[in-house]
This record gives sequence, structure tokens and C-alpha cells, in this order.
Amino acid sequence: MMPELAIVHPALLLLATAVLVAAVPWPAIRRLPLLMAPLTLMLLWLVQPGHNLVWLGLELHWLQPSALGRLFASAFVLALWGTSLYGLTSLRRHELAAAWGYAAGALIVCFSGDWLCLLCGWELMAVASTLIILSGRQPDSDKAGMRYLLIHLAGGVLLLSGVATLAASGQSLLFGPLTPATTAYWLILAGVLVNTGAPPLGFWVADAYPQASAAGMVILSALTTKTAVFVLLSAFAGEPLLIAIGLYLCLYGTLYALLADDLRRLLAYSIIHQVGFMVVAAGIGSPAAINGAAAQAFAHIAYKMTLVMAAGVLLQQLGQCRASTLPALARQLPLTSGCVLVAAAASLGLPLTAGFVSKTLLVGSAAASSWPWLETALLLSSAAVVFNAGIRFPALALFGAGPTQPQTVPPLTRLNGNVRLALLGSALLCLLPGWWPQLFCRLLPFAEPRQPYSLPAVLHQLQLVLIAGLVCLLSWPFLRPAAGYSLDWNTLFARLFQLWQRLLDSQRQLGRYLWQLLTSSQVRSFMFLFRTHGPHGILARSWPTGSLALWVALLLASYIVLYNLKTRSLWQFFCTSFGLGC
Amino acid sequence: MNRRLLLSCGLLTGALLFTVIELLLAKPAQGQPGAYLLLGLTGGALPVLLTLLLRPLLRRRENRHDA
Repeated sequence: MMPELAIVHPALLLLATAVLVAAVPWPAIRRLPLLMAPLTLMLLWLVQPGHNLVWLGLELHWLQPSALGRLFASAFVLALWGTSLYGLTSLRRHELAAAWGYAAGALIVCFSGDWLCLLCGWELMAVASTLIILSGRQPDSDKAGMRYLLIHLAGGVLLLSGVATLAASGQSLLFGPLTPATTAYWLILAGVLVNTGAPPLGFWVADAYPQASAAGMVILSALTTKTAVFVLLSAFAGEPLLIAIGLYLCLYGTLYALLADDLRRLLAYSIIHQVGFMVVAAGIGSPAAINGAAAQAFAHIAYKMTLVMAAGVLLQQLGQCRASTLPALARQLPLTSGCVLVAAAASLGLPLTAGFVSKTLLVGSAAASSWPWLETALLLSSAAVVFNAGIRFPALALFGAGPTQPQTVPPLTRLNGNVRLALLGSALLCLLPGWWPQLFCRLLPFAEPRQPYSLPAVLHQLQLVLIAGLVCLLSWPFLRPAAGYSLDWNTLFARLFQLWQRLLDSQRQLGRYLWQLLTSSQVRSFMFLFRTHGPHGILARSWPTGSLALWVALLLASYIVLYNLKTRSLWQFFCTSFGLGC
Repeated sequence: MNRRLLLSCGLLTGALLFTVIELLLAKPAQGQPGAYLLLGLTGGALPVLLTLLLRPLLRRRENRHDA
């Protein structure tokens, strides 16, 4: 590669493609991303640190590649490639452009050398991903998109506040580990955690992702949460709070995936579950844990992409992917079924898959950490994968295990060549790191002394998965999916907003009542004056002269009486008035 | 029903077989043979129990759906 090209930011290629796809109306332009993705992939491994830019007196380190950043960026570009191929005919032009803009934002984050550049990429991702959700053509896409945007803008504001606090306190804006327990540290951490799906705002994952189009969800499932994990690994490694949050995510994802009926929602909860592993690893913070989390992120992107593509196939073929109504489609969709089984095996961490390598590294790092009980917690969580992506998803999606009665299989159309190719490519990506673990480990940010494959590791993983699979099978009749909806954090927020709305309504009603009271009292006083002084009022009547003289006499008399009372006693008054001589 | 029984037997046999191989060929995990069986059992049973306990609280069967 030319040396000049080695300092071109890979995100620029993606942004240029996004602009071209959005601006040029030729149908052939849709094929451009298929060419640009491998070019970007090549560039991001060759790119060197760029010259710093000075803007408004600030020195911007816009291109600072690191091993971790390159690995995450590679996974993102592969996901983008897969999405572009999968959605070659189904993605609309502006949706495709938004997907490329979204990936460009993710690459800006991965290669940024300071918090300001990172913030730019972060916000670009928020806006572009909202466009993808809004273009979803699902029943609730508009509302879910707005909720998603609100939550991500809130996260962005937290991040911006943190960066501003960092700058105001005179600390360096260079992207890297922050001084713990400072205001900037907590604000930035909170902003980043919003994107990982951490509580209490984590409901956005399952709320928004299923509202995207079939191809839109593929890219969404790969980028936002994993970019946040990248920032956690780079800047917050070793923060113990992350361990608690990660374990919560594992539990929350497992539990809600078991309750979900919509398969794409099940996969969204499964994403949260897997992100939990990576957040725990960020909490451990050792080089081995960072390696494990990076490997897990790569493997997760590969197998989740395959599963989301398969769910998208069902959505496009049947118009819905509600587990309680899906028939057994494995025979009608043999290629999709094969790819789903490969991805499920990778999610379970079976040997010869990417999941095995990543989980072995991750669990191994937990065993070597200061919290040895974490190994047990992660193994328990790993066994629980059978309830989402591992066994439950394939059984519900392809083998008709959801409905209590067998369902008739509707006629299906043949899958497009691009969809089949995308499915095959992503399934292959689930396998390659498992076949060549040494090569894969060389891409990790730190030198990995451990061998992922050993006889005990293989035997342990097989025991774990088989026995958890047995529990899953035995408990199946109790855990059949059913139509309905789950109460999540969003229900709590909806109640709080309803309460707030009710408070506002009551305040408005009180204001209206007070206004009415005021206006009615004014009207009443005017009416009283009108009654007395109006044309027919008592004071406006014509009075006879005699009556008037009587009233004047009475007034004078009362005045005399009052005057005398004031100056003399009542008795003296009577005496002088009536001449009693006393 | 028969298929589920067959699968269950297969899974159980497989798990026990790997435990035996572990006992014969490799060092038992965490100093205890079959520790991973117990972990798999707990990791599988815990979500089931939690879901059965919490489902009445967390799931509503109304004429409104997930998606």
C-alpha cells in the first residue's frame, strides 16, 4: 500500500461510500459497499497513526490505531460487509447509507486518540442507528426509534458532560484510562454504560432492535453494544462496579430471553446476556481478561449476525417471527438451518467454534483474577446460553418447538443468492477462529500464553453444555413461549412518565380552576355593582323628593346623635335634647 | 414425546461419558470429578426456577404483543 494511504482514516472510506450510496440514484451503486468493505478491512490493518489536527485550539488525535481497536474495527467491518450482502436487495438506499455511516462512527471510536474524536463518532453512531430503526417498516418502528434516540442522546449528553468536566479540570483529553473516582470518570462511565444496555436504561436493546428491518438488525446487533465494550476495555478496565453490572446483564438477558415470544426480541436479550460477559471481563481488567473480552466480542458478532440473519429470513418469509406460532421450517430452509446450528454451537462454546476459544480465554481469566468465584459465575452464565441462542432459538425458529399443536407450513420462496452467501460467510466466521485458534490469538491485543484447546477444557465444556441442554429439554413444557409482553424497565419508566403527566394534568386543572374562581368572582362583583349601580340598580332609580328629604333628615339626625355620643354621655344627651333639666 | 425422551437420554449419556473420560484421562476440574456436571445442572436449573417464579410478575398475556 502507498504510504500516503496508510494515514487515511478507514472511516473516511465508509463515510464516502455512505454519501455515494445516498446521493447516486443508480441501482448499481448498491454493489459498491461489497467492494469497499474488503478495502476498508485491508486498510484498517495497514493504517498508521495520523498527524494530529488542531481545531479551535484543541489538538485532535483523530487516528490512533491500537491492537484492540483494529480487532473491534475488523469485526465491525465484517458485520457491515455481511449486512450489505444480506440486504443487497432488501435494504433501501438511505438505510444502506445509514448503515455505512453508523459503521464509520464505530470506526472513528475505535481509532480515536482523544475523547473529543470519540464523542464525534459516538454521536454519528447514535444518529445513523436511529435512522436504521426508523426505516424498519415494523409496526412500532417510529416510536421505538424515537425512544432509542432519546436514550442515546441522554447517554451522549452524559459523555459530553464527562469530557467537558475532564477538560475543565485540566486533565488530558487523550483517550485512555481515566483517573478513577472523579466526576468526569463517573459521568463518562455512565454515558458509556448506557450503550452497553446497563440498567436502568438498558431496555432500549430489546425495544429498538426488533423494530429494525431484517438487514438493519444485523448491523445494529454488531455495533453499538460492542463499541461501548471497546471503550470500557480501553478506559475503565479494572473497575469493580463493572463486574456487578456484567453479572446483572447476564441474569437479565437470560431471564427475559426465556420470557420472549418474538424471536428477534429473544436475540436482543441474548445480546445483552453476551455483553454481560464482556462487561465482567472489563471489570476484571487484566490483560488476559481484555483478550478474552475482545475474542468474545469477535465471536459474538459472528454468531449473532448469523442468528439475526436467520430470524430475518423468517420475518421476510412469514411476515412475523413469533415463536408460539412458527411451524417446523428446517426442511424447507436447509441452508439457513445449517448456518443457525453452526452459530448456535458457537454461542454454546462447543469445540471447533469461535465461541469455544473466546469462552475458554474469558473463563480462564476469571479463574486467575482476584475474584475466583467469578469463574463459577461465568460458567453458570455460560450454561444458561442454552436458553437463548444455544438451543432455544434453533428449536423455536426451525423445529417448531413453540406451538403446542403442529402448525401447517406455508409455501416459502427461494432465498436470494446474496442472502445465502451472507449466511454462509457469517457461519464460516463462527468457525474459523475455532479452527485456527493460534492465528486468532495473534490478533488479540496482548500476547496470549495459554492454549485454548486442552483435553480438560474440551471435556469440561462438553459436560457443561450437554447437562444444561438436558435441563433445557426437560423444562421445555413449562417454558413454552406464549403471546403477550414482558414488563421491563420501560414499563417502570412508562409508569413514571404517566405519573409525571398526571401531575402536570392536575397542575393544569388546578390552574384552570383557580382562573375560573378568579374570573367568576370578578364577574360576580361586577354583577353586584351592576345590580346596584346599573341602569336598573337601586342607586340609579328616580326617588320622590319627600323620600329624599326624609333620608337627608335621617342622615342628619344620625350624624347629630353620633356627634353627641362622641362628646357627651348618653344620659347628658337625653337630658339636653329633651329638656329634662337634669 | 418419544423424541424428547430419546434426546434427553442421549444428552445424559453424553455428559456422563465425558465425565468418565475426564476421570480416566484428565485431572478432575476444581479438584472434584463431575464439578462441571453440577455447574451445568445449576446453570440450567437456576434460570428455569427464576423464570417460573418471576413469570407471573414479569409477563402479561394481554392482547398486546412483544413486537
